[in-house]
Amino acid sequence: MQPLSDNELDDLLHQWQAPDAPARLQPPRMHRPWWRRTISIPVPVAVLILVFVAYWAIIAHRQPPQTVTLADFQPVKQLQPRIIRSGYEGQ
Amino acid sequence: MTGTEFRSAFHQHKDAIYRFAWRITGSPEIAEDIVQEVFLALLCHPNRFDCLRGELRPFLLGIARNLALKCWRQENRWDVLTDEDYEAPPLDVTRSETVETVGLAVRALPPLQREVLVLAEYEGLSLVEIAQAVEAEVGTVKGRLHRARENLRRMLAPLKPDVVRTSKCNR
Repeated sequence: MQPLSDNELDDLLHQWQAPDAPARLQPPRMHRPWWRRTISIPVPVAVLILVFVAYWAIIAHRQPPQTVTLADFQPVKQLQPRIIRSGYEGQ
Repeated sequence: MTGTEFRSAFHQHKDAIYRFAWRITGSPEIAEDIVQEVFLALLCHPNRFDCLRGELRPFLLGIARNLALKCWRQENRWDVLTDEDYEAPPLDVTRSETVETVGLAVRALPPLQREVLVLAEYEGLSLVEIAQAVEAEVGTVKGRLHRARENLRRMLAPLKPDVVRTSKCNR
């Protein structure tokens, strides 16, 4: 039996039509708990956030500067004057 | 990939994926499952698609092809996945309609020939895109397509217009 020519084969092949997807098919959704969800952020933004957090941590843990207030000035309880003379006066 | 982009991709490509899976597997149920799994794969691993390497449709058809092949392997566990030695005999066309016969002939092809034929003839993919989808060299794809068409020429020879006319007259 003589095989089909190219055109005859193409004609036959195009008679076989496939149906489209049923209308009920909907895009799938991913049911993932919130603690397993991820977000993506650009690297420069991530670096800026890290720098900011590091700077904040350093500032927060630094000792506050020593300041002197009037409350620090207390009256002297026992006065013990000590007179220091220069060596010239005794001579 | 944002949610809107994903939904747009779904509506744009779902019919092509479904048609491909339907033609390859012959089952509407499996074709539906394949569509769902293809888009679930895209949703879970959007970074696997690299737009620099090609279009989205061949990429998605490639996933569908792997899933269809997986189904085929489950059903034909002991069959060897080869296509080179297969020579199809002409089909018996006396008991079926032309369209059915074409479908039967395409589905009778070995899986590796069938997938390249469907992608080329029905989904209009280029040889490069088919090679990307089936993870093979362009030369290999060309060879499979040639063998698929040769087999179909022989299988569908009884549908040749003059043969059909003669057989109708003889009835």
